[in-house]
Amino acid sequence: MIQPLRKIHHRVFFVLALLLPALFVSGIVFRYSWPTANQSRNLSAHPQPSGGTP
Amino acid sequence: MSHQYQAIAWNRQKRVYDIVLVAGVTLYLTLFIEVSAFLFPYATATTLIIRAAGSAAFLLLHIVLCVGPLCRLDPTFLPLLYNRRHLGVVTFVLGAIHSVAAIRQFHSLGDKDPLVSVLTSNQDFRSLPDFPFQQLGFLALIILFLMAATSHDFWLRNLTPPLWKTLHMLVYVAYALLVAHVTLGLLQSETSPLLAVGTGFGLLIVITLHVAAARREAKVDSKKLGPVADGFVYACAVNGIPEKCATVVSVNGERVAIFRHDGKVSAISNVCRHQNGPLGEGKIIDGCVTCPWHGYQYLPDNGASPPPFTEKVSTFQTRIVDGRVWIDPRPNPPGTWVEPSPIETSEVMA
Repeated sequence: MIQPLRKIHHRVFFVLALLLPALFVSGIVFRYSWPTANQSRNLSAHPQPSGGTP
Repeated sequence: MSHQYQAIAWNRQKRVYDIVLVAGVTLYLTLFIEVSAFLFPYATATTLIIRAAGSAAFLLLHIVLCVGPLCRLDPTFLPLLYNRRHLGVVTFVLGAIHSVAAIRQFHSLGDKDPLVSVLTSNQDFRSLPDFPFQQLGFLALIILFLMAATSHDFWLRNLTPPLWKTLHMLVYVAYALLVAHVTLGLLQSETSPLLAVGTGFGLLIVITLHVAAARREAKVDSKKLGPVADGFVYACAVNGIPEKCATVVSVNGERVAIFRHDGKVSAISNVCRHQNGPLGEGKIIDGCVTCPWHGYQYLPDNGASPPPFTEKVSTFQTRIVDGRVWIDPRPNPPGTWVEPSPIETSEVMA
């Protein structure tokens, strides 16, 4: 009676044990690197458009 | 166990369990809000509620998931299992508070209906950093609601234990959705390594405990029984069974609990009729096999609960030869009386 339930439990958990760490690591690796205050002040990183100055 | 309908069959253990649970959650929420208000003075009250309730629900879900394997590994944790359903209901309530506060803060100021806004405001399913994580949390909340709503024994009895247990395995889907919700939501905007390490550590604990418990269970199932004689298979030595306790063996893929009591041996199915608890890990109390999970009881000779209760489990024929217990692998219909096999003094010494 309990064997089919145990099999479902094993399969569900096996899939999640592979899927969740992969998702977690991917989420961390591919997240945006938000600019810091110092970076945003670096003008060479954000050049002025040509012809924008008088 | 109960033989008539009661909303909740309160007893001292349940009261203590719930008092500790509510006190613990209240303390956590209070501390979280107080410390957060000090560290982030510009955070609104709604923001603090969103964070406190969400983190409490996520933590509690980890505890819910760890209780099962912990009990398989060490019976010391069994008291946590007794009222685990109340942990699940509180998890849902905290998740609902988190959701209502978040929808109010982020989705109630536009023209759209707030719920429609949750489901349609972000549809960027192809980007990990911009993934619509709120929809994942919403799906998890629906699953937690289904589980909380059907957590009562009324539903367990009407749906039958196998279906009820299958339904409640959705907790793993809810957990996966919430890990994704946190990873693609909170961890995208809050770059503190503490949050990422904490989430990863929780995931690691849940997976490690489940794998360790599964390995232990696999040992019981993979153990080969001894030779066959007259249709009986050798199961274990009499001396290997502690008094008033059982040895569990796997026969044809199903587990059988062989109990030793009052100089006799009886074998019944290892699966409790209530929630499929492991009867072989319980003890004989007041002459009855008592399930370690919720205390359901069965007479070892016939596998039936004492009147007025009506639960029954299968029984197995046993035989003792030279201090060895043999069992017939064919189960008798639930509730069938079987003559217990007497243990001779010489067999105990063998």
